[in-house]
Amino acid sequence: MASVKLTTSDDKEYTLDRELIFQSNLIKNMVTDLDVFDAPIPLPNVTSSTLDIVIKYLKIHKDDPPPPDKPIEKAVDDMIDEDKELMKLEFNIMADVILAANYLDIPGLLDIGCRTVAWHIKQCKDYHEIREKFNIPKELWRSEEEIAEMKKELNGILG
Amino acid sequence: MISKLPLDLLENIFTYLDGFDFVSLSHLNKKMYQRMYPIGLLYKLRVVELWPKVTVRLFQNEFNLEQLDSISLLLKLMKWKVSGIAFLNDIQPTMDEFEKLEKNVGNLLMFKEDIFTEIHIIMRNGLLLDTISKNISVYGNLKTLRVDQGLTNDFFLSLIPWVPNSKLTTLQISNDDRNIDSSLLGKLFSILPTTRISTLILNINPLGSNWELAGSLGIDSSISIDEFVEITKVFTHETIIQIEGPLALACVLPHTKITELGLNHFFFQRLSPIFLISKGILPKVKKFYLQGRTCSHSYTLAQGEISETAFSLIYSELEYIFSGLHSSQLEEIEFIGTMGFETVINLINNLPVSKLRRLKGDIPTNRFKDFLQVESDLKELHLIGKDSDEKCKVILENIQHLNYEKFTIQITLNGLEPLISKLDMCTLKHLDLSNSDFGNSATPTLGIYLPISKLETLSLRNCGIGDAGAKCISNFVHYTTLVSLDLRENDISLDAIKAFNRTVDGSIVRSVDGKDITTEYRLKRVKFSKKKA
Repeated sequence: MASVKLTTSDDKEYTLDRELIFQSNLIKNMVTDLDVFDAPIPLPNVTSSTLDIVIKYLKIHKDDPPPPDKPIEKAVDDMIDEDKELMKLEFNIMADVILAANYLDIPGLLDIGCRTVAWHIKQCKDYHEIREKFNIPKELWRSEEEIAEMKKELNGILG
Repeated sequence: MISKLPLDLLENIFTYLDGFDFVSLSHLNKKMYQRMYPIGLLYKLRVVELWPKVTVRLFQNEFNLEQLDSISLLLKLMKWKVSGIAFLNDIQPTMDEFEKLEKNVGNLLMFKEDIFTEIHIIMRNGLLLDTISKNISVYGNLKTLRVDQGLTNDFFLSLIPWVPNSKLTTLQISNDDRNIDSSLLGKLFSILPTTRISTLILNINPLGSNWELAGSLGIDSSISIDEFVEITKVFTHETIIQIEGPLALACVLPHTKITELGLNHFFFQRLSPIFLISKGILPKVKKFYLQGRTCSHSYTLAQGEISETAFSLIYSELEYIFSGLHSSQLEEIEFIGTMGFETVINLINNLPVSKLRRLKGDIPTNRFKDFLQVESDLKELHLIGKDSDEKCKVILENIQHLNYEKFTIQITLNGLEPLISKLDMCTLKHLDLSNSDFGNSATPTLGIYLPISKLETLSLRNCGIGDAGAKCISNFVHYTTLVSLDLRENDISLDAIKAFNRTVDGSIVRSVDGKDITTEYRLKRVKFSKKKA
């Protein structure tokens, strides 16, 4: 079976079955349009640890039918157990996976990544929890004074 | 991690956040929030379309130009479930300010094509309109478009091919001082049968400001009405495009879905579409206006800019409308100019058998008593014009027989007490005393009698009420059944408004302008009233 070589940003080389990696529209188009079979395809935006997760996803879904042109609307936590297990990641890594899915054009992975983040946001009771959970640096949040000012403004606006 | 992701991916995430409270995101700092708010806005507004439609006018004095992209605006949009937006501007912005405004508004409008279902533009500067008209095809869900200022020929050129394929059901256009190419207006009329438009308000003079051209439109005033009706039947959709002005509209109207028609500032020729309505040819039209509220600032017939001959034409047209009331579907009608004697006779004779529920106009004082004594299903009477105190007396004599729910009149201090003191004897729920010149002296009278009335809405707009009056009102308003009190365009200072707010629970200062205090209070339901006791 024909294979495709990929090189990650940390110079690790991967040799993958075409059938598997062709779930990535980017790679599929590169290989078929540019006819690059032998030379490794560089992935400057993807680290090897991220690609490992991507490959796990590709293996889980290798027998899936081709995705529909128009995405089907699903509930935020409507995904198979293997995907749920796969998405048990630190948020920073999850962001890398989402970015990689976006770059490699793997709609299914992008979808479950985004839905997982949305699910986590929905679990937060308030902004303190969002801040804590997503480890958002303090300088990116409003100061207590600003919040007090805003509450005042809100009271004025919302009545 | 959120800061790591680009905007389009954040949008992906937020589409799954149904029911998420975006206010909590407001605690992000400005830089972060700017990354988040477009998505929040987009998300919220999309959802809003499933909720009851609420249209909010965003008056310029509610936010300065720089605030347009700020959190307060977003929160207003979200809180009020906005699906429509109005751009109002009484002050001409500088070019710099305008560019900023246009950019921000453009950002708001261009997020996605489906956000807004209603746009209302009252901007003298035509740039914003140009931006919208150039991109008009992206507003796939736009149902209401109102343009009150800045109308251009280019706007028509964009509008005409777009409307038949759009979801537009309400179109209101007004030309201010600009001369619009009347053939464009004719083209617009010609496509009306192919559109979904059911409300058409034209605050427009198809001839621009040139009244002399009236005779050149090929409307021969010597032919009879029946002949005219026959002529209009001959015209086909294809030929209408060659006709300009009112006649073109008259020809296409029977073939449209229009149920609400406003012909304000329309040139009143003897042979106008009004005849078609009065003859029952347009059974679908339920609301008809000869003069809209929106254009009262401009020239009016009453100001003598039209000759006596023109006035007599108006009387005769009204006469036709009223004589055809029994066979029409008209529920609401508005007109200006004092009605002629015969006109009122026709109105009085036909009221009992008409479907008319709302009437706005000036009924001559000497016929007013006869008018009130006619049995009808009229629920709203909005009087304009002179002799209001005199008419008020007539109303008081008949008050127990009247079934009105809404009533508008401008009265003096002398006329106020007799009217207010008898409100408990009638069915009136909404009273509009706007533009009455009674000032602070009226407020104690209101304080005495309002608590025993059943009024739910009272408008005291532009009544010369000052700080003392506002203070007086705040002291008694708890004891009334009022749910809405309109105090806009009075001389109330900002301090007095704040004091009012402190006294009256649940009120919201809707808009405040440093020079012209513009305030509307939403009041809670009654806490107690003498009626209950």
